[in-house]
Amino acid sequence: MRKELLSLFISLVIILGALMPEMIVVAQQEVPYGPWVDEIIFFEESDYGKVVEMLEKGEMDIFLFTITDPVLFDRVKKSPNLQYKVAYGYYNELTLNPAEFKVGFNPFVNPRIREAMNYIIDREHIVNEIYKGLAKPKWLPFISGFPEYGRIADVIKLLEAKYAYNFEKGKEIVYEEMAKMGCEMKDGKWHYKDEPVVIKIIIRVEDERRLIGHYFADQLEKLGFKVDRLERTRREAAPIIYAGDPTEGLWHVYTGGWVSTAVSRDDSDAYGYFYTPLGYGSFMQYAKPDPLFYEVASRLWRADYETWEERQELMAKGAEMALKDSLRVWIVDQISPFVSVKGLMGAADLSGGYTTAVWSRTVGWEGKVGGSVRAGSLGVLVDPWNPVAGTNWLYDAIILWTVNDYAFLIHPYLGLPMPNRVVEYTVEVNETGIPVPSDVWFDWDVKEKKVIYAPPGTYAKAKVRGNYGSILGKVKYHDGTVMTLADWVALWAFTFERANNPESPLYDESAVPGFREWRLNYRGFRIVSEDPFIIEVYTNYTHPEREFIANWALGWPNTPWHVTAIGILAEEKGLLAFSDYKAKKTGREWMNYIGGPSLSILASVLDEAIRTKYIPLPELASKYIKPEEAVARYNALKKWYEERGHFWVASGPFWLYKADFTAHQAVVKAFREYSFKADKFAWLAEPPIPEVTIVPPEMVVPGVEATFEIKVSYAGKPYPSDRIESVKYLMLDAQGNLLGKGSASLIEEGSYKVVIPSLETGKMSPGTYTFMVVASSKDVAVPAIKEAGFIVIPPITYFQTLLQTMRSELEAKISAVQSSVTPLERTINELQSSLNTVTLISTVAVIIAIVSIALNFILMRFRK
Amino acid sequence: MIKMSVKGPILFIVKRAIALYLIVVLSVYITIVIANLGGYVDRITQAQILEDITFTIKRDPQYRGLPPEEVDRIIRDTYELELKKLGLDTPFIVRSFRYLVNGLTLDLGRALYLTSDTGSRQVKLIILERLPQTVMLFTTASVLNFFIHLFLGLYLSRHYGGKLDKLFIALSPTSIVPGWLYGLFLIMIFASILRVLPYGGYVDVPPPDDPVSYGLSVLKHMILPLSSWIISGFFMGVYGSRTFYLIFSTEDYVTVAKAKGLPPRIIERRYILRPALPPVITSFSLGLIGSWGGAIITETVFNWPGLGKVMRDAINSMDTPVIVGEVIIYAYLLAITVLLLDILYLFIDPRIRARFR
Repeated sequence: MRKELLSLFISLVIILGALMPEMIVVAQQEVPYGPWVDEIIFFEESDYGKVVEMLEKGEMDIFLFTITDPVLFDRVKKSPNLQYKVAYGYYNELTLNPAEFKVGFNPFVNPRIREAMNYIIDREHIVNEIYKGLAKPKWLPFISGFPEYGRIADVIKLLEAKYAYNFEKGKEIVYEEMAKMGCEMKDGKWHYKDEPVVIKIIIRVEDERRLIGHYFADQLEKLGFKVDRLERTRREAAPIIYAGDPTEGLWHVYTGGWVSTAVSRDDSDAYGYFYTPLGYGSFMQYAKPDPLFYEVASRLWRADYETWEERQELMAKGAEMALKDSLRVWIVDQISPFVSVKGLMGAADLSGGYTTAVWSRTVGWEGKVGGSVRAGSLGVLVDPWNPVAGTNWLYDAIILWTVNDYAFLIHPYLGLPMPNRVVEYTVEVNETGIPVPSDVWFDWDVKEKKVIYAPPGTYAKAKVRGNYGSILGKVKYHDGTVMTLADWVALWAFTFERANNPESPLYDESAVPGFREWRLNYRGFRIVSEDPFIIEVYTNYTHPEREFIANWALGWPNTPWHVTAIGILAEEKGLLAFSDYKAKKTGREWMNYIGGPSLSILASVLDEAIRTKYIPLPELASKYIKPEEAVARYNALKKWYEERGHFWVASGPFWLYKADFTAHQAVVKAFREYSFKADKFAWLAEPPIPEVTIVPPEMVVPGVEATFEIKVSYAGKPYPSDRIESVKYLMLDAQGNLLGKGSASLIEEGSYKVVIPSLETGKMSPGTYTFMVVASSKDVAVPAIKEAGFIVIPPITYFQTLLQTMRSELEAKISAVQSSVTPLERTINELQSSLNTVTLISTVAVIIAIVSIALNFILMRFRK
Repeated sequence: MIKMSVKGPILFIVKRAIALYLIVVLSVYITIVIANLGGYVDRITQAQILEDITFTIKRDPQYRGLPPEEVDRIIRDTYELELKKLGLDTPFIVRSFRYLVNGLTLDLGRALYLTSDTGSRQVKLIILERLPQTVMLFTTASVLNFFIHLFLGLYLSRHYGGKLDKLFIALSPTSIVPGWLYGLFLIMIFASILRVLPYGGYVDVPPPDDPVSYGLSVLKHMILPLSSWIISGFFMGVYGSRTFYLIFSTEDYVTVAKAKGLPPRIIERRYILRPALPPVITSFSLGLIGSWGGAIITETVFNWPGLGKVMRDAINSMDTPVIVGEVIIYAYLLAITVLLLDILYLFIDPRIRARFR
């Protein structure tokens, strides 16, 4: 027996020994370094019908762009294999020409007529009929999914109610104003100086704006205008609208469309840009906003406010005045669905959808580590890639985001820069000036080839200190080389030589405007510590949110110095050019690190660099790079090129495995030596948009306190109160007039209440009302907006109801008493009959007893 | 055998070459003017550039802190740089002749917006990198079509009035339907329903690593677009060939040959095919040249990386150098083909030879 136990134990040890490494590997693989998936394949498909078909049939896992076709989206919704996330960012409006015409009549010079256009447009109709539900009505330039909307949602909601569709009201205003402007209605048409008033609408034909344009034309015709519908493409419309003379009378209305590619945090310039001459377009110079509105708009434009509250006040004021002005009549915010197969996770930006750097850092298959993702895109590999002035295409950027890395990434639900490579940072702002220490690198002397340190008396508006943790000698690049101080500072002079030294072979005119802007803000930088790596940047760039200042100041050497160096050498030798501009000007090839004729040139330049132990910009770089280190780095790159066939070496979570230019496909593979694990941004998997439930009182009685209960939750659980920005409420009457507003008070986690005091309810007359709640989270820009109706009844009715209730209660109690009395009677009767029986029996017993006693007594006497 | 002098044909060829060259020059210049809408495209492009730059800069928070005049200066500088980059700082008329001279000397220059597949702006590379795929698909289709039509046409002309002949006549109107429409049906049947062939594209996703698998994958992706072209031209092409040979087979000299009792093979080869050779060669050559231009819609439907899509993109983005580049190469090829055909006719067509006796 003992032997058997021993052998069993040994067997178990052997089996466990064999399994342990695998178990350990599985455990380790649960959260791998780098991304969740092993590879992403980007391929091109621009036919949306085919895209949906391929997604349904499993030929594609995700499509990186939005599918807005309502019919196709319906298929997506009904498909059991597909899922989608929504984003915002496309929005449409009608631009009304504010200029007085040289010839002809323009009613839209009159702001009241412009304002009236809001009433004659049924935005709900447009949402339902034109966009088939894939849009939200819009009255102001703020996107409803972005922070600015949430911040003043209470004000906007009121305005939306005020300017709701009311054709008759709009018509009344138009008729009144047209008459004032000297127009006459003849045979059902407006005339000015005996000529019919013709409204020329330039209708863009590329998207739903075509139908919007025709809808608006129909509405204008109903008002008695003759309408000239001019369908135009962007190319045809742009010279007329933006560069043409607006007084020529070539157009009255233009169906404008806008796009925001990232969640915009600060839209305080919107009033200035869209309603005043601060905006762009020749017609904007004819805008004559109300002086008060212009002051509000320009103060916001210049950020001329002391406090955040003051800014918010200006924003709220501006909203009302923008609708009074209505140079732009906003129509809808489009809802853009982004589609993937079920089981594929990944964060989608609230503006750009999957076209964000965070997507590739969060993409993965549910319940699985590894695997491959086939990602369809509208374009793949368009322009040359190089680390200095390469492609600017979004199609390329999508792939570049996977292989490159950044100090900050943009939060997909807030639009705020969030630390990625930076571990922690501090921002100090002082508008009056922060002294810049004398050891910071302030400038580069292109003549003397030396660093210029900050001269005494140099000040900056902000100081940013960034801590990157322990990175030098630890962070690996894709070619196996390890980050050193040289990657941070060796090529610092290159920026100056390229944009500020016309004598240099690296000088590139196209870099000058950007450099000038940067130089206006840049006040210097210095390395505070090498381990942990800490730098300090001094800048004049400021922003209301410190994250943006930090993002401006703190960078990351994504490309190692030796990779940029071969490009520098190629440009110095006049073989290639980093920028498209310089390439054209010099007749050279635009430098491409991943394909085309550039590759052979870069390969030969690399050989030369190895041979000559080349150190770029040696006056500075040679202090940080030894010749033998340079050769080792170049050799690593050569090996990489021989194996991979391209020169794209970076520090991102993926590396470029293949770029097939004929098939327009790119394959990126997981870089498992990446510094971070795949769950770094796991918390961003879904946008935590709060869900609101309102429990209104059964009825509200004037003069009696009323309590509204509000539940704020996410995924069925109470929303953490420390992550809630605000829970605001509005009370509106049936006409949309504001009766009260304020903030709800927290009762417990996820529960809030609003108590309307008796004084306030006393002012309410009987009728139906709306209670609206706007809940904003700190973790997502989209506010939750919920409405609930409630009834206010007259006091007499209340008391009648109260009496009725009391009477009912009493009657109920009486009948209850009655119903309990009946069984008591029955019990008494039963008791009575029992008693009678007992009495009878007792009587009989007594009689018997008496008789027996009597008999005994007689017998005794008889014996005696 | 008719003897001909050497001087006459050479003079003829030189005259034809000059005439063809002048036609090329004229057609290329017309293309340049049309592609630029007589210079109006410049205005459009400039407005677009200004719009894009102003929008980007004015809405960029980084520039908001700067004084308005500084922002305007940055906008102006960036705009002027962009104009210089695109060469729009030179008047259109000057550029139009520059385009023409460069084009005629085959210095196709740089594209304004498009890049080649490997990211080069050189128009030459933009065209050359797409040419193999175009030739692979459309030239194959043209060659296959040519031989299918030739042999089936001949067969039907021999069996004139038969059931098959009647069937082809009846079905010939189906060729009115363009190839890409057949393509859509083929995609629906073979990709969507049967799932045996891909929806389109050039190669599998991801592209196979070894060249043999890669080549086979490309062939698999060619099946549907190739079939769509063959189906589209099939009945009409065969019907056309059959009618063409029928006309030749009813010539008097064929009747005489038949009356002389010559065997049908000899009649077909010497009396029908031989006189039909010049138009057949012409049709084949022009079909071949035509196939090098690709097919815009078919390439789009099948997502095939050919020259048709380059032309579409060039027209959409008004990239004049690319449009001109494609046109000039096509014009040269056409002119050279026509000239070669003229020379060829000298040898194969006795009627032409007779003019130079």
